Amino acid sequence: MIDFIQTTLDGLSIGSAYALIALGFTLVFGVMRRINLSYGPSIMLGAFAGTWAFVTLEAQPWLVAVVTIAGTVAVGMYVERLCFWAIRKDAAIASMVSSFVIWMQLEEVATILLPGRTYPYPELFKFGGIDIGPYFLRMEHVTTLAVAMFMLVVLRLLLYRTRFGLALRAVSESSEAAVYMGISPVRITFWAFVFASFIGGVAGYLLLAADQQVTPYFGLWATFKGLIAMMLGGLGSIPGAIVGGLLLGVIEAHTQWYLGNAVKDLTAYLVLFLVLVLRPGGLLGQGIVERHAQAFRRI
Amino acid sequence: MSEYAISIASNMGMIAFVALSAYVVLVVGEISFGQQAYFGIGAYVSGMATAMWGWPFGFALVLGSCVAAIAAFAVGALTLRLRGLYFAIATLCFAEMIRLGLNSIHVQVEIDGEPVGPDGAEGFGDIRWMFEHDVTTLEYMFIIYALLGAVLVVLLLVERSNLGAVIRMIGQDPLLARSQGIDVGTCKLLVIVFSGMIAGLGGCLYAHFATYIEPNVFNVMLGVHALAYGLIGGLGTALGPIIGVVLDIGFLEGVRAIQGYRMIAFGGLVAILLIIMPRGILDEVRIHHIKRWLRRQ
Amino acid sequence: MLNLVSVEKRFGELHALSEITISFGPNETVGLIGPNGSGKSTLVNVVTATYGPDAGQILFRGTDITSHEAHRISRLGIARTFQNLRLFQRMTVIGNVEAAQYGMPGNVFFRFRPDDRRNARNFRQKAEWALEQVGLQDVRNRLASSLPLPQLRRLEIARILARDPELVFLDEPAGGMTPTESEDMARLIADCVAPNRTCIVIEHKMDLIAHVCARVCVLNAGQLIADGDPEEVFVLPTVIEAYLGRAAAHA
Repeated sequence: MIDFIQTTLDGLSIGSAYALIALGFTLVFGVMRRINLSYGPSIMLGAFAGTWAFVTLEAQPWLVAVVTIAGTVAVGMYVERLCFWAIRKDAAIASMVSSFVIWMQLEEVATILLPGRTYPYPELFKFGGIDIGPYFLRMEHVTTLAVAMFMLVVLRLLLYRTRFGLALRAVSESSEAAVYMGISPVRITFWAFVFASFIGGVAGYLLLAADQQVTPYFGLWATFKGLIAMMLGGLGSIPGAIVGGLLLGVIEAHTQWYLGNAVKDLTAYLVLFLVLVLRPGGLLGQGIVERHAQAFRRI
Repeated sequence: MSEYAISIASNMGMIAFVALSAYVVLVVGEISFGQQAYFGIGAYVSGMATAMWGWPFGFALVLGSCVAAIAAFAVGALTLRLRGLYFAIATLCFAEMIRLGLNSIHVQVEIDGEPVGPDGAEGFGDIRWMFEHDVTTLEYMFIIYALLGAVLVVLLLVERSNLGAVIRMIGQDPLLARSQGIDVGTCKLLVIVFSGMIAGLGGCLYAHFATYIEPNVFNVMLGVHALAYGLIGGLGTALGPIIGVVLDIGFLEGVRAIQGYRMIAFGGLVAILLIIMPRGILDEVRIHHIKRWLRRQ
Repeated sequence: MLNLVSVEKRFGELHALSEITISFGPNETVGLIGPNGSGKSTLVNVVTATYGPDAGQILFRGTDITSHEAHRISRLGIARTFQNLRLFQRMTVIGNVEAAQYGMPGNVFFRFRPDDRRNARNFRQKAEWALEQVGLQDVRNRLASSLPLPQLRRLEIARILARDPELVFLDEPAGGMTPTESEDMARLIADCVAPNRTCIVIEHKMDLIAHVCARVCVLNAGQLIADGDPEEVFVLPTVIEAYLGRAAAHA
């Protein structure tokens, strides 16, 4: 029983990082109805910029965090301008493929910046963790979970309590109609992208600080973990992203504990495949399937 | 031809199979992140057939592509209801399951005192058909291109036929196609099975060219590359994916000046290309104009 | 020809169609009118199985087609146009008309046998004939996306003529047209579409309805409120009320 709960806690810890990444994905997809494969790689490049500052300039951990987040946002803007703003609105596949080739570009920039395979990444907390009864929680994981919840609240407030959020929801419903309300979809999309990149930067920093190392593969990892978490929870649903991320983390932790490392990823994919086939809307957000599917189909 | 040139040309030919299979799915209006799985299935099955069971090469090709087609049928039938991103992610899940499954497959037989067969993450080596039958790499390249040519001819014929028109109808507006009496589900399934078969055939060729395969070769990067090639070349003709492959592997690998910056150049080029031509170089509209121009000549 | 027996369709709380019972006879031309949101297009969508009905029965020539899939219904000989124009934008004009015939029963995908080649030639000839009927023969090799709206509406008609169906739904065939253009459309419907088939026209332009239809059905809020001769129906108080409100009916 203790093992079970401890494993669940570990799962929730990693899951909260998935949730954060899925949140960024959902925000961008919700506004644009297009998928940004470069999301993970832009976080990776931001993290490489941070670790570069750490390795060559011996920057403080807080400065590494700032460089990572700022770097991710900067790369995010680059991706938005090149792959989404510049491409016709009805060409969703072109945007996706374009974001993929930019991914390749970002990966090469990262390996030119730092040609090795892995680099150290400074940890956030020097002290290890906290004990609650028989359970152990690493401080970084508690922080990640707290940040994920905080972001969820911030995002909800932003979406439902501010004028920007109203405009964003309007664009998400119909960008054609939003134009007639005096909203500029281009600007809203841009800022949504910036905000999503910011969330991604924060998630990347927290994840890597817990791992204390970074590799170019982080981009692939983040993109697909984020995508899976988003689809698991339900496309376009913000609580769905959180639930999907946490669930993915818990599933992975339990299969790893009980069935071994080899089965871990396999189970995650199997679960998502079954969810998609049996309940295509994901766990939350069934009602919006058709609308989103149709929006995505305007190739 | 130098060995290097032959290996690049052969690689182009084999990747072209995956690109073509991704293209066919794109034409029917779906995005697949999973074509690499059929490539992998073809590679493993045909490799096992020649290396472990001593089958002739030709039969191994048929078996490999048929097993890949059966897998595609299963995936297609299960995901028939799904559209857009849902379909894309479901195919991704399937492909990753196959890749991870191959990681834990250990089927080996003893041949000449050596164990031969897939050994999980260690890969599957000693697919020695080429050495055993004294096939040079140049000859093998011709085999690849002959088969690629055959697939292309079939695709171009299909494109001219009523079936080709029906596939394009579904790709442009499945609801309208259905209201015109087209059985959209069956046609889509047919296309997916066919795409699996093409990718599987490419995989068979790859296994015997590389002589060593491992599950990680068939990761999602291969599939997304294939998708990109399909779109870059253009969705108007089956020649499109070939253009995409030649542009990436042929041109950029060939130009030594950008060695080390290849992806930066390629990424930038393609991003700009897609801004100007969102449906690729040879899209339907451009093909239409080319056809009209040819008719006038 | 087509019988609807207490057909119902709900979208959440909204009763888009409630208890619709209606029959259309062979070779009839019927106008289906009603204010916006009264369920006209829903009725077409339910019959052509864009989405199935929640209750009731739909019979076509005596066969129950309630749970048929859309493509099977189309193959039985029911065709439709779309209010917001659906065409294959990246195909040529004639390509669109040819494409309309590929889903017909008896079509084969490949042309290996001489019979099949003749079949393909027939498609081509049929398409050219249909385009001539609607007056689009001169633009047949242009891309559909390059045509203006009135011609696109005509292209949808040509597509139907090429299929030669027994039952046709025309969903606002003169939508967005000028009075002259919609007069031309009325003439086209009366001369080419209506003869020898059942034709159901949804339209807001009453002169078009009066020109082509011998019978008019009026829907309001998902219910059939009138059915009969145009001259009689147009003056019924319930119909005027549905269109113009209660005050106008008593004026």
